[in-house]
Amino acid sequence: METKEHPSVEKKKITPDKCVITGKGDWYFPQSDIYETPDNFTILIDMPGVDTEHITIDLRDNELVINGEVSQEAYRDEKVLYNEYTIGHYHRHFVISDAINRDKIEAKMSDGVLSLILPKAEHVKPRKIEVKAE
Amino acid sequence: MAKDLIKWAQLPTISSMQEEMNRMFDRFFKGGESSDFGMTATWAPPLDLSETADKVTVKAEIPGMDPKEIDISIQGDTLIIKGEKKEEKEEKGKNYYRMERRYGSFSRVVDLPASVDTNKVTAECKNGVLEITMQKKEEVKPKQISVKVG
Repeated sequence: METKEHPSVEKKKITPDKCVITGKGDWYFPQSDIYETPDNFTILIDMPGVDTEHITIDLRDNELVINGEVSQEAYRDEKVLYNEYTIGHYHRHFVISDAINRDKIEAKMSDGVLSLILPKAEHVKPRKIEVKAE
Repeated sequence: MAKDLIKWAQLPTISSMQEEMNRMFDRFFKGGESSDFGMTATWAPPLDLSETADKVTVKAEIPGMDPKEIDISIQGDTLIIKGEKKEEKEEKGKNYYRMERRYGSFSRVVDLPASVDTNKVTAECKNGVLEITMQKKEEVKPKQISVKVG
């Protein structure tokens, strides 16, 4: 089997010294985008090959832990001519602050991308202060 | 005059220049995490190519792509996958903290290991993984010839 070096997309493998993960198979750090809008913070995570049922999102203290397990099977009867991407589970964690309304975190999955919408807590939302005319 | 006298050791040697060139190429083609050089311009989905006795399969990871934006064509023994990964709808006042995912259009050309029947090609997109299955043409399928016992 030939493994080609692919331009631009490279999955970062999680080594045991980075965090403790149990279970079969390899684990990778998925790529993600984080942006802020006036009302929310949004995290987009690329998790190709993961079903909605195989994603777990846990909020422990200040840590948002995301695990996605791939159900795609390795090649069995096929002859692999070239292989540019690695298949494995995904893990990523983020530390969140009090600026987030934890009860209203939403998550959805579409086309292999997990989007997490973290609404801002009322006290951090931008507010306009009106000037009263006397 | 003193200006002309540069210590030999300070001059870049051919090998260090070569190393720098290699690093430059690596940065460009692999899009190393440390550089923001060519971030969106060189995006292309990674793909796998495999075959069995009667079919050829190509799989590609295309998270976040609308299947409608993918264009697949077969010319002779070449498969061409084109597409564009569009950024999610523009929202006003977006302020990025992290941008690791890639966007943009790409085109990948794959040499197929065997001639395929263009009428028997299926493409499926599930959970951000595109799978194209192509049936090989009858004449290229391996045939088993049984030996008759005389």
